[in-house]
Amino acid sequence: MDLHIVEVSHTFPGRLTREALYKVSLEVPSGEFLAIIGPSGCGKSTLLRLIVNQIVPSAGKIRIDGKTPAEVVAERRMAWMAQSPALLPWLTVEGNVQLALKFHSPERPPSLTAREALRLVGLEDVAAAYPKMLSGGMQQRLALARTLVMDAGLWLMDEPFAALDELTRERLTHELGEIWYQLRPTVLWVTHNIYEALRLADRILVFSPHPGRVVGDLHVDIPRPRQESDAGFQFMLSHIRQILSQYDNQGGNHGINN
Amino acid sequence: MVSTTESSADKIQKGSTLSAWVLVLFFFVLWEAIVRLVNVPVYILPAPSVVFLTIAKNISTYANGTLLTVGEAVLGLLLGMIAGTLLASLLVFYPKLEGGVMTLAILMKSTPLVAIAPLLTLWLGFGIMPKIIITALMTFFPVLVNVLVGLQKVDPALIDLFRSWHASRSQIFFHLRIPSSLPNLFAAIKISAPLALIGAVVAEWTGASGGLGKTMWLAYTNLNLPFLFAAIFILAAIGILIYWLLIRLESWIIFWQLDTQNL
Repeated sequence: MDLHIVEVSHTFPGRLTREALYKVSLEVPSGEFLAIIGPSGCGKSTLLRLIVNQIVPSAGKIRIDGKTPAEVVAERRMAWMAQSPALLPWLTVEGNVQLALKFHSPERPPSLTAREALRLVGLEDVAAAYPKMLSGGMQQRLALARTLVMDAGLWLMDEPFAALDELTRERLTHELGEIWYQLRPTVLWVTHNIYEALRLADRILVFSPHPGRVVGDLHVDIPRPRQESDAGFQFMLSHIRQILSQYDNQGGNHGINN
Repeated sequence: MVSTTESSADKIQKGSTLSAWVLVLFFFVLWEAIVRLVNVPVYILPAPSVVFLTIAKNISTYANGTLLTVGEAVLGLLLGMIAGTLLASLLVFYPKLEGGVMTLAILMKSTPLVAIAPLLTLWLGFGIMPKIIITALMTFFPVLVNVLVGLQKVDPALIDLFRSWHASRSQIFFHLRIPSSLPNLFAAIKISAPLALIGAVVAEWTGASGGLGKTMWLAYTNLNLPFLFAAIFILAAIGILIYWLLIRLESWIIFWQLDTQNL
């Protein structure tokens, strides 16, 4: 699914009025893996929430395949994944995936069964276990299996692996890359880890501190699988750091892992 | 990783149960000894052995009374539970009603229910109806407040997920809010169950054709202390039994919560 964002701004109302996004425009072609990187509080998450229709923008226009976010959510063609795996503790691992299948668009038959999705993420052996019995990495794998069965064309991922330990995160990032390569959904991946972004994405968007604006839009033309030791990788890395360093004097490194 | 929940918690649990029984036994022995050594007259304080003998001699009277009182308490508890849960659910769908309904509920809660027991007996007679109404009223408020909090306090990440699935309000209610509120429902029942028993007994004092409350009242007017104590012993035992059953039921139904709490 392609995504078309025109001059979207968002201000959170209330006593502490806070401008989260300022005139963000963006074109994401179908099947692209877009990483969004930027300091903490730069409105990256807000952008995803606007796209998934959890909040309505103060100004600007969002279209997905020519439709409004509300229409696309109603057609169940977007999948949402966040830092919290958001599992239902009273359902088994398989039950959690089956629940997602209940919300699959009734117009198309699901392409995967719960079992098949669990096999894809390597959780088939623990299908009968309960989420509390799983490690953090396994819980996020389960959330990923749940995303898979939805057959969504647009995946909105808000730092889904940020709470995991480094090794698990690296492995899951790699697995996500492979699954994306097979299914080719359009992915918007919010992260504050430049390495992760460089390993996975076709394109990286760099946001300024708040109010978030797009200050860098880079195509990553490094062949996959990508190695940190590649000259191209190192070049992009230093380029992104350079963009971000312009904002460093505005208050530290803003929580960027560089 | 997958872990089993076999832990030392069970052993600790068993140990504390055992020590509780030892304490109770010690209490009874001490009581028996004091009564015998000081020669306390039976119309002041009967020895535990006398009380247990009274129960044994009048077993059918006490069995019938217990059945009636527990029946009233359980029916009232169920009625209050259903009413409280339904009203809490209604408030989730119509949050604008919450302020008004909660004010009324607090007013009702602040009225000493014991004070309206005689009134209900006058209106509805000596049957089980006034007892059921009193116990239901005592149960209703804790259930309403607890379940309402449980239904409202759902993990926001889960709400976000369901919204991204375009789930309707009733789908969110049944798949998410109801299971999330079960621990609160159990907390409320654990508070209410002893209250329900008190409610049934007090309502029986104001006039009844049977039940443990009636037995107590008769024993009291005749200064028959062994009879009175026997009823108290039985009530205490039932209270403990109900609580134990509730804890069992709770760990069976909301297994996903207790699992980690016990670790």
